[in-house]
Amino acid sequence: MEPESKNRQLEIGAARNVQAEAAGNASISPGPRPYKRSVKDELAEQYGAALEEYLQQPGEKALQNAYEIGRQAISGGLCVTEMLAMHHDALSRVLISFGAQGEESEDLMTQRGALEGRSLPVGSPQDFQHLVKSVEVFLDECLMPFEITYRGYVEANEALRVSEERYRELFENANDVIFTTDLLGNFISINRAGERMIGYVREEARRMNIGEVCAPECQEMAYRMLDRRVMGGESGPCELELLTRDGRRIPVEISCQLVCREEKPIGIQAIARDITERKRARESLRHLTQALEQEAKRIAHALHDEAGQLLASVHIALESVARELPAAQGQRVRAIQGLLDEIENQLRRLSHELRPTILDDLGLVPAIEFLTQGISARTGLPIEVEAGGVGRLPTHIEEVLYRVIQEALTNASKHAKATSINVNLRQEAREFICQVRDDGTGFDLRAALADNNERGFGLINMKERLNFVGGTCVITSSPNHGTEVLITVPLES
Amino acid sequence: MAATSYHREVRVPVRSDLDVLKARQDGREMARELAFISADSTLVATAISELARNIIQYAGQGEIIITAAEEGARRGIIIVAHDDGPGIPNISEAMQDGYSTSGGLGLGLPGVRRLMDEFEIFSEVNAGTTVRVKKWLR
Repeated sequence: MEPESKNRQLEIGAARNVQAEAAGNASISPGPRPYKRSVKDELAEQYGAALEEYLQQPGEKALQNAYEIGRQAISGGLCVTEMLAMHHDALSRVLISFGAQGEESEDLMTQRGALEGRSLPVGSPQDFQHLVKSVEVFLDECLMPFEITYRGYVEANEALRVSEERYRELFENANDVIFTTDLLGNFISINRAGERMIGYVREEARRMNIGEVCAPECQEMAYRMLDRRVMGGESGPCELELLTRDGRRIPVEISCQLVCREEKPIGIQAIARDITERKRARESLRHLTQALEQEAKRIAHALHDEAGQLLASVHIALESVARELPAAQGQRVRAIQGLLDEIENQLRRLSHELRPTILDDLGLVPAIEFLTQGISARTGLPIEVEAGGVGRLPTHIEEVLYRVIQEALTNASKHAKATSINVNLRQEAREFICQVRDDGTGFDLRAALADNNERGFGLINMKERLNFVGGTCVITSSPNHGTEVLITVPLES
Repeated sequence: MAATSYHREVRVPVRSDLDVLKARQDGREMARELAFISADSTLVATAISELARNIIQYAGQGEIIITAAEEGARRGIIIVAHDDGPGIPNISEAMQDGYSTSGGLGLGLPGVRRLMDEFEIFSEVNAGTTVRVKKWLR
């Protein structure tokens, strides 16, 4: 290519583009300024040159060029219409030169300048026909990468359709309620299970906010959960009550996830499960535990007070008998009295383990101290109890705490092979905190929970009991690093 | 499957862009001889371009073999692209769109698969890759 004509072509392209830019950005500094060539201009120039080359010398090289230009156009993000516009420009120049062979106006002369010095197929209608056909082949070649890409999209769309259908089936047929909302909690979609549960069809739901289907006292919690997710926070599922169209309340467990597009949060995706049955089961378990506790109290009372009283009377009666007998026989009665004392002690211990009256009479800390003294005496294990600012708590909380700490101490003294145990009790403004730490062998919590043995049940029982009073229990343990049980119970202000 | 009988065969060593040109030319000529319509000849040339590009990019050099074939009543063109390069460790990944760095969706090997009627690929790490595609006369 001659450098001279190349320069002229460049000028034409530049002039056109400055115009286009000025039209598009009228407000930004009009007038001449340094012009930056775009990928499009670059390709347009290459395309024009390749087309001319092909028309002069039809061959694979120019076609290969066309193909490469098409490929680059795709990489550069150009679309088919831009490609065609490029082709149109190049073709116009060729046709001007073709038509201008006969009559040349001044205007055409000027434009033809770009093609000066070229010998293009000119003249007859046969020539023209040939030209059109050649141009077609050339354009085909250039569009081929777009064709491949198009076929790629068709296939990808089909795959997408299939996967979407599968997802939709999963979504629609799930037993759990699945829904999505925007960042403000406005419903975007809800599955059939959700429609059934809340009693609104999805068209209605789409005009509603999550708050409208929550029980009034749960709304704040729902929004808090939403906000936490939007801020990128993580937390486990939460329980709240949904309010159906006909005013029924349904307890659900909701877990939700942030939905992002291009790393920007755009909504929330949530799964809600009806936990009516679970709540019912938990409630009956609570009743059962309470009844058991009452029963233990009754038996403990009977053992301690009634049987204890009887034994005391027997003691007094024997004492008077012993006094009336000669010394030798009296000795034998005294031996029986010694056995009676032992029975009485055992009864008292049994009664205490069933239900420490000290818990009712003096409260949690003395009861725990008494308990640890007993365990220390039995096992020889030193147990330190630290208690700060703990006063009397509501009876049902004291009961739960006592039993849970008892279980933790049993685990530590029986299974941990510890050399010492530390119990720390703290009462703070809004919660009660208890830590039970041992320096024992530790254990694999997951495995222990899965075990159907005493310890497994014990651990589950701790969690369940705490659940009744809204408390939690975090157990941190690993082999050879001891175990820490952290018990937290919220206190009503 | 009906037995394939081979007629004419052209072998083009591929080392440079010039060789790619030669392979395209031979492919297009063969397609024309078999009376492929112009658009399908272009498809053949395109497939050769992409296969040859792959050879140069990943193996440095290789060979493209273009054969006119007959299978039962069908006539068509078979293109084999072969190299002794590093091979493809994960073919299904290489056949996925978006894996190649070419930009457009489905250029490269997945594009060739879509353009051709039949597509086979064999590859062994540190031994090389062979891609075999067929386009039948319509």
